[in-house]
Amino acid sequence: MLDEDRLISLLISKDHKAFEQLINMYKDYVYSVILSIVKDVHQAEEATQDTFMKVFKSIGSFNKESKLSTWIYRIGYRTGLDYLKKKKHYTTDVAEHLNISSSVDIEKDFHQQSLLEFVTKFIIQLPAEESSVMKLFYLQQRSIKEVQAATGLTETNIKTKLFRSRKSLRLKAKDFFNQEIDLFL
Amino acid sequence: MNEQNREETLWKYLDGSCSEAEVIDIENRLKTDTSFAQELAQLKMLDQSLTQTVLQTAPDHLCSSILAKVMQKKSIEHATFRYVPIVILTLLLLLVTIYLVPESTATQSTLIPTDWSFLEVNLQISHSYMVYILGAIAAVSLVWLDLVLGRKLLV
Repeated sequence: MLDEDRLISLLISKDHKAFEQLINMYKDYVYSVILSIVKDVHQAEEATQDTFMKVFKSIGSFNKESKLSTWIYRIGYRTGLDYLKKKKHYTTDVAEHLNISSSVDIEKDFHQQSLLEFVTKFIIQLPAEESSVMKLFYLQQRSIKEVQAATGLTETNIKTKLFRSRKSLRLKAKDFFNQEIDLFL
Repeated sequence: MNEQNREETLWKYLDGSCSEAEVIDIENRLKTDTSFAQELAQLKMLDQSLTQTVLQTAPDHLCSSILAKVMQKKSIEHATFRYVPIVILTLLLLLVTIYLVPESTATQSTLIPTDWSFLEVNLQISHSYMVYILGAIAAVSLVWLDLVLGRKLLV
């Protein structure tokens, strides 16, 4: 595994192996962020490909002011938003793709689901910005600054979105806890 | 501390973004307030679930698809560079022909002598036909180039 500086210099010289390593390092992360925005598996796949093509094309302009991962997330985030603007209605059931019950009525069926499924489903159903902010926050080791660099949103905006989303999650999970808390504690 | 502030503080505590004083305050309260401790336990479970579920696995073929696209892009760039002289040559040929066609006869379809002496041949050719022929050569070149590049520029 190459260190980041060496990887960047190899990428600038259009080294095929280095690019393969970069894709393998970040594809799941980029795909996850884009999926939270476009909420369609096929579009997410296409947008992830586009993101890496943009990375490949513009790696020479990467100025190392941010981490490489943040720079890639920023490209992925913008590409995801572009795809969302192009096609507002999504057709593929993301929940089904993620092996989660396709029912969208969280309140009714969360008692039968594991907490993980419940949380995954909750994130999918959040609006694009809230969902992507939440993902980036956890993917970027809870760094608001990194989320800010990736999305261009203000610190206050990110904190507000994050708090509202997590508060909403907690409210929706309240009944779940009432039923399941004894099993977990 | 109202309920909203309480929840916000607990999330901050879990994120590790509380000040030292806040941490001491929370930890002292956890020892005495069971509902506060229970609330933290719930948030902790949600927080752990969020950490575990944010990452989705991309399809297996994604890496190879991207690499194939990169290779295609590279070959297009290479081919473009390689066939630039052909395009330039075709355009030059067209320009030379246009230069050789006298303006007054450019639209006539009769046989008009053209000075091809620089080629040491004596040709008589219809200028209209010549333009058509060269146009066809240019079009064929572009179609061929298009095929070589593997993309549809003309359609």
